[in-house]
Amino acid sequence: MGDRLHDGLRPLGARAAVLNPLRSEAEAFRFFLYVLVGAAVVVVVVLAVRAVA
Amino acid sequence: MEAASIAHEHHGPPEANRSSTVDPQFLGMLLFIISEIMVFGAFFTAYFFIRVVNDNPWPAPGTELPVAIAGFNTAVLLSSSFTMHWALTAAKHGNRFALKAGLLTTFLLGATFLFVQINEYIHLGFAPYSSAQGSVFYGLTGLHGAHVVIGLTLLLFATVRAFRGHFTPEKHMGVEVPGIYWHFVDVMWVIVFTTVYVL
Repeated sequence: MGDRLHDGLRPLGARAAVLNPLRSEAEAFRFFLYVLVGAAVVVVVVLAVRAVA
Repeated sequence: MEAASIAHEHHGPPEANRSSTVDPQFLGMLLFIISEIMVFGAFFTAYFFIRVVNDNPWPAPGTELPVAIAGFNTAVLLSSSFTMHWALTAAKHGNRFALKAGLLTTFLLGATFLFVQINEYIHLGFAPYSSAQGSVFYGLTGLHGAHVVIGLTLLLFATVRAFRGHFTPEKHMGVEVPGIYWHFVDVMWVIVFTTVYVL
């Protein structure tokens, strides 16, 4: 059957669109940047809420 | 008779099964990092139990966390992720000078982080046994520090190999795998710094 199933699923070896930080250093670095931005947003939101409350 | 001769041809244990889709080095690092995430999860559970579930003050009354120094240290560690990425990009493009400079800079930045953190421990003014908050603080930051030591060991190997002429644009697994681990260490520090020092 090879690596392609007959029911229309994508090949097993195909590169998934989902970000996998454990697949390569480049993806791990991209994930690191996302976490950095996410943490910054969380900190800003929490500090803003604390300032208002 | 034939079966007996076949049995005598192979010595030692059977060959390990190799995945056709994942390199052994990647698989090993993947499983290691997944197990490490669970270890950090256990420590964060203790942190949230003390701070959120039991509603204890953070840090413990009478103690203070050096946020400015930790912030500086955070900048040092996070910049090492950029130099790590630079090193691997250089390896892929065959730029040996940038590869060596990137790996060496990453190692030095990581070592600086560790030095500053140890210095921070010396001057903190509280010990792991001082309070539950102290236990969790040293537990989380110490666990992360241990991971920095592991990362530095991997980086040391990669740096020495780079200076000895290893790694090509086609073969650079020895930089790629430590790179993934180093970004994991930095991601964990972003979470530790945010929860322990800032929030």
